[in-house]
Amino acid sequence: MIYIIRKVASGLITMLVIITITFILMHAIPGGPFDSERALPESIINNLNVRYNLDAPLWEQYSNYVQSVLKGDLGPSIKHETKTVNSIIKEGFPVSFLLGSIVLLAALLCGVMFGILSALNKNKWFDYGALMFSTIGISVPSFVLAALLIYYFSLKLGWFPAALWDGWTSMVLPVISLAWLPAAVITRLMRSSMLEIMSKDYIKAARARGIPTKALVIRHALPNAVLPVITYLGPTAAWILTGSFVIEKIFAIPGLGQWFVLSISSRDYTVILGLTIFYSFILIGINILIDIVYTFLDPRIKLMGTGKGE
Amino acid sequence: MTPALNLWVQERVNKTQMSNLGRMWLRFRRNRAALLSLVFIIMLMFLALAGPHLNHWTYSDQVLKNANEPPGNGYWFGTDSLGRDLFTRVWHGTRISLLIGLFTGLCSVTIGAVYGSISGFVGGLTDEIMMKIVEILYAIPFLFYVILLMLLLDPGVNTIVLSLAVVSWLGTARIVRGQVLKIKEEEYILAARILGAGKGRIIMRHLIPNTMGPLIVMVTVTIPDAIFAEAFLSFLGLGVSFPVASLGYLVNEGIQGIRSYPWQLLYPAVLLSLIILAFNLIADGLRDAFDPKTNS
Repeated sequence: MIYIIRKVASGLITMLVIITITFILMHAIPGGPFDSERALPESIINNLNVRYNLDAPLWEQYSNYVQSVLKGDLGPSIKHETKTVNSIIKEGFPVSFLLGSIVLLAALLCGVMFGILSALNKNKWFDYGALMFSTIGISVPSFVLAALLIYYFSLKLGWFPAALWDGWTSMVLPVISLAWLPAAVITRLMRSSMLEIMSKDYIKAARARGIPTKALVIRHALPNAVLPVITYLGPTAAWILTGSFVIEKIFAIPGLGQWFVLSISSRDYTVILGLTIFYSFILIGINILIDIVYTFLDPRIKLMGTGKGE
Repeated sequence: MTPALNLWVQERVNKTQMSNLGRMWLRFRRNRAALLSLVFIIMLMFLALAGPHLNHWTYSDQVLKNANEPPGNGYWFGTDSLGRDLFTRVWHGTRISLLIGLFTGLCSVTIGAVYGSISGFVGGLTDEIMMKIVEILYAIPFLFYVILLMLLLDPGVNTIVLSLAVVSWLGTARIVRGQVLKIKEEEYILAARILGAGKGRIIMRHLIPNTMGPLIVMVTVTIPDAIFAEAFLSFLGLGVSFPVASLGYLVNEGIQGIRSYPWQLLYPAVLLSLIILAFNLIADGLRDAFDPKTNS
């Protein structure tokens, strides 16, 4: 319990630091938000500054900003009069969340399955094949993979749409491009941890008792071997998140990543910073969640965290 | 100890230290994929230097009536939408990408090594605070920081190297700190201390040589990450600025014409992937060579 509270507290501090960094950066960016090619009259600029509270002293702006973020209000968009960061999140996040969950699930399933099969077929053709695919997955950038997939499967073969977000056929290519790398890493993790577990005494004992390989793997080896994979879920989530920027852009998926890219190219600072804070919140939340799940799965870690295990 | 014996001990110690990296190289050489990758990268460096001068086009020469030419007809890799020679641009892009990778790798590892060794060597509260900072920064993928920094600074190769280096040293700092903490406890450090070696001597003769292995590995790990990050930034429109092109920039341009002019995508995309693959294989080889135990 203490361990969990400590994790949450540390996450909150991290959030505050990130809000501060983004706030400082927002004010360090040269040029004001209302600079445009046609110079606006002084009075309009002043009114705009009052409207967005930009005439207040810096520390007051900072405390206002932190307060509104804590209340869950990430502010307006500078470039889109009718939109706020919150409305953008409401619009884009469900799509990105759906895509992200499918990618995570696909990566996890493929990675664990291929990892186990590679470990069981060590140094046979299946193992080498999986190694080759995972090496490719780690080396080919997701957007290159996406482009090549579009070229062959959409343009040459016409199996899947090149850019659309409607139904499962439109999901296949984006999911493959995003899930390949995490699946590759999980395969490697799973393979090495499986090999380690399979040489443990309790597995040998179980084998000596005549337990068939299938039950041995699923009931005895898998629960222990999967632990390193769970710690890798945090980086996987981060990867999917940043990867979604380019993948959503390439496949024209109306998700949050697409919005983020759009706000970068139109220099919509409040949206960039608001979304950065939102993404940080999601990632830190996921990491805390993974830590909590991990303590239930592996009670040893709880003792280490509080310093009692030493 | 007599002076002669002292000298003998000194010589033995020097020899084993010298052969630390030597042994790493011996083990590395046995890894055929890694060795092949190394040869490949050296070849690419050569081509990146020579490639742009192999025909009479420069990377920014535009011949608009020859726009979007397929490979052949005097253009070995074809031309892009502005009639620029793709062969020259691809090798020029390779040069930019490799430069960004190498410089970022070196800078980031240097920062990380200094930070990590201070943290590990001083220890105590300093160590705790320094590592807490790393942990907080680590919570968010470094691409976010790079994006924010790139918004702040003018686009360009220098800015990219700077912002990538500033944010990508965290992993190195952690590894170096761990290594320093481990070495600090080793018996030969105790022995050196008993023999009267000062702090400076221990750092110079023991800590630095013994962290060289992981540092070399970290540089090779950072290079493909940096090349990838730069490609990613170029893709978002935050990378190198017109008319300079990196491989990521060329891939982004290529995707736009994918339907009609696939060669504009294919050459830079394949090259970018091969470079990252080669660096990954080299890094794997070095890691195994440095620590055979992790070879699983």
